[in-house]
Amino acid sequence: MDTTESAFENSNPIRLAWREWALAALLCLGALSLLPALWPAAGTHFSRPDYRLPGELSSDYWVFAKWSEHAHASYRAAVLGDSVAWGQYVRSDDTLAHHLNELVAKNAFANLGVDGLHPAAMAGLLAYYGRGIANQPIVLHLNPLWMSSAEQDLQASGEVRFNHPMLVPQLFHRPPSYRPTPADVTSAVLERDLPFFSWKEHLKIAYCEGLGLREWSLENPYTLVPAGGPDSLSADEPGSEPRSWRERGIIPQNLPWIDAERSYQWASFKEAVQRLRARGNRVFVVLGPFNTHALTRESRVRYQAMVLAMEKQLGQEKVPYCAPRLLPTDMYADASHPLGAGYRQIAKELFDSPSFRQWMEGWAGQADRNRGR
Amino acid sequence: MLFHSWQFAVFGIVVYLVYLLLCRSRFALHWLLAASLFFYGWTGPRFVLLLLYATAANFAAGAMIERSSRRKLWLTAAVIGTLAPLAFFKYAGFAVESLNAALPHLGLAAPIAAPSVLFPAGLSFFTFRLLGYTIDCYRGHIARERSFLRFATFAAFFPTLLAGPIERASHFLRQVAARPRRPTTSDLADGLSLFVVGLFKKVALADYLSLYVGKVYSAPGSFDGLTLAAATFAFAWQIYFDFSGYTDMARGVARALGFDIMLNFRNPYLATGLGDFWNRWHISLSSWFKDYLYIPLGGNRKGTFNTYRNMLLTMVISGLWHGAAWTFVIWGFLHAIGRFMTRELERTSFYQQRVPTFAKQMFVFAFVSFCWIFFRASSFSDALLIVKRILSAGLGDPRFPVAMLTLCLMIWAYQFLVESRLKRVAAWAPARIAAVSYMVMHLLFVSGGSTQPFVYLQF
Repeated sequence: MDTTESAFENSNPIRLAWREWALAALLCLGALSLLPALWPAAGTHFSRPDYRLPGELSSDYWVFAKWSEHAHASYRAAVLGDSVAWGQYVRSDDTLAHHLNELVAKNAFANLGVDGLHPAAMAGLLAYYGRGIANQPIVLHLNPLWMSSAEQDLQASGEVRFNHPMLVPQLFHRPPSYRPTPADVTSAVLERDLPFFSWKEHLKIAYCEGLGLREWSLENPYTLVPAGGPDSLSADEPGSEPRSWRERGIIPQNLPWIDAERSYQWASFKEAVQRLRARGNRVFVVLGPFNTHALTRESRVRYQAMVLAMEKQLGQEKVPYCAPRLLPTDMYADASHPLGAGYRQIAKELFDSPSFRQWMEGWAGQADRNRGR
Repeated sequence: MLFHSWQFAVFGIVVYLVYLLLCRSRFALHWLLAASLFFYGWTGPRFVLLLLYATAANFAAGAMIERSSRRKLWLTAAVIGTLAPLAFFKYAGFAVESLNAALPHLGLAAPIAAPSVLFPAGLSFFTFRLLGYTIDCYRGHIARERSFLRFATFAAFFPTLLAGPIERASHFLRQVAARPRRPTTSDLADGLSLFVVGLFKKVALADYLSLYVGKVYSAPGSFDGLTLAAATFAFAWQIYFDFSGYTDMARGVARALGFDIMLNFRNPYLATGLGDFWNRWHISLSSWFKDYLYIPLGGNRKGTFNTYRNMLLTMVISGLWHGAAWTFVIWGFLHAIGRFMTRELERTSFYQQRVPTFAKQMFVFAFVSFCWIFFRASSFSDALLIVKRILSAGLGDPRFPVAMLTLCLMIWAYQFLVESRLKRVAAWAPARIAAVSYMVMHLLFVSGGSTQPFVYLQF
């Protein structure tokens, strides 16, 4: 029978003594910390005019963190929200951020919109990947669609598949309809708290077409090193065809809407606002405007009651906000996304609103002085 | 509970820490046994009863063989009683299906319903481990174990329970005869070394190769000859990395607890003959068959014909041990043919002196890979189709990932290195540290993807 010594020699697993293990651990820790820190975030893409994260990178939180750092250094404010802020049905030079920049005649607003970023995910994104925009003025857009039903509000009794599950609370205060496995929780916690794992996810999304390295190599059998990366992706074009909701054949919906008092998404949105304010961000909230043309009469009544309650709470908490008026029906591409003309009108309404001007006056001069502009 | 799962990570840490506290007390084995039964119960609680039954039956048989004058009767009873569950769970379905296929040829058309039962994981392994003990008692090679606790710990020891190695009682019981020794930091470092290498083999290599193999072998009719040959090459390495990875992890866990488990693989794809291959591949099983089947049949002592008959029987039964299907029978049969061939060749001075070792190794690898077709194919007709297409279906683009090929060739080159005069290069401390660091980083890069169960868990 083999002794341990001969067993090691014969089966050739690589045997390390304690000190060697310590050295290997140090090497690995060094690589874990240095690789994400030294990896270039981008070549030129952040500097493109009207830059927004390409749709393919919506779940690439590592690149979001880098983009938000860049936005902090290069823009005076940022517009943050879901695909409405991002501009799903419009070119990158027709978004809310672009039209605000046109009105202030400066490159002041960065588009930090992320597709599918519901409020619960937004709170997580800001908590774990949003430190780069601390102290920056933020226009925070709320798409009321996330409160339109128990499913959207993540309160349905069964399990619901939703966007950005890694960003929602994993252990405490989980969304009621989120049922993660222990492996999901572990992955989420590792990815949020250890930069290596979010960087690994970045490589997967930005370089390997969203596939794992192994699966990617099966698709690209004769390539050893993935090419591509964020520079090769463009978000200039609309994410979807820019047509009005009527042309799409959408019929008015009887959406149930969730009371603001018991909405999980609304509570998450308020948490996001609080987190930003705690970090020194001047926050301005934009509520909607939701396409109530696409609602039945009863649904519209419930929606308006919900928005009123939200406005009341924002007022009580002294959060500057604006709920732009309903746009003409042809300016909507679907229930919540405006078309280019709609964004232009919202920007103009914001610019004309006293609360927005007051909010801007609060930071524009300060920012200019800080940056020596 | 798979070694590369988060469940095992939690289980392993708890078991290890409590064991460190208890290992000098009289409760050390109680704890190990309880942990082992919990580990087995995780796969199916009712199968614990099966394990306890086999353990009790062989423990009693050992005692009766020592005390009784009818030793052979007790041995026979133990062998039948231990093999019966294996026969039922593993072979009943196969027997019924084979019978149903044969009935129409006898003019009988009434099909018999095949029993639909779930196969208990590890049954083949603990059955052979326990039978080895009882046969050794009968032969007088070991004294019967008087403590049921120690014996049950041997039978159920969780690192080796599901897929071996098929540890010998003489080796293991010696280590638990007295109170187990306290694991040292050196044991932990060694155990960790084995575990990381095993984890790398399983997660980074075997699971990666399985993606290509699974795609091709699931629809062999859709692929050309070169692709099927590439998938067969990939499967040869997949099964090696899968099973030897499991073994390394099992030995690593045991080592961390202070136990020494027998070697199961020794660079099998460097074998120069089929006999040599079986001295390097699944050593605990091949040595079991040699000691408890081949030698009792007469081994090579009764002339060439009987030697080859014994080899044939041993290899075919070994094939059946792996799985209840005709493909496994053919696989065993082919290995027997390979053993005849290389045994005869090795007797010639030309083969001994003129054929380079490397050529012999490549021949053995090619032959073993060919046999793996029957092992991996879903059915006998699929296996024949694969062989036919490899030989005739032309040379298309196999789309075999360069990264996959590079990894396999690097490991192969490493194995050549450690069996060469340059093995000191591999033992050089910076090389070992760099290799382990690379493996850990590689595992971190590929972690989070889907993981596959171990291939040998189905046996």
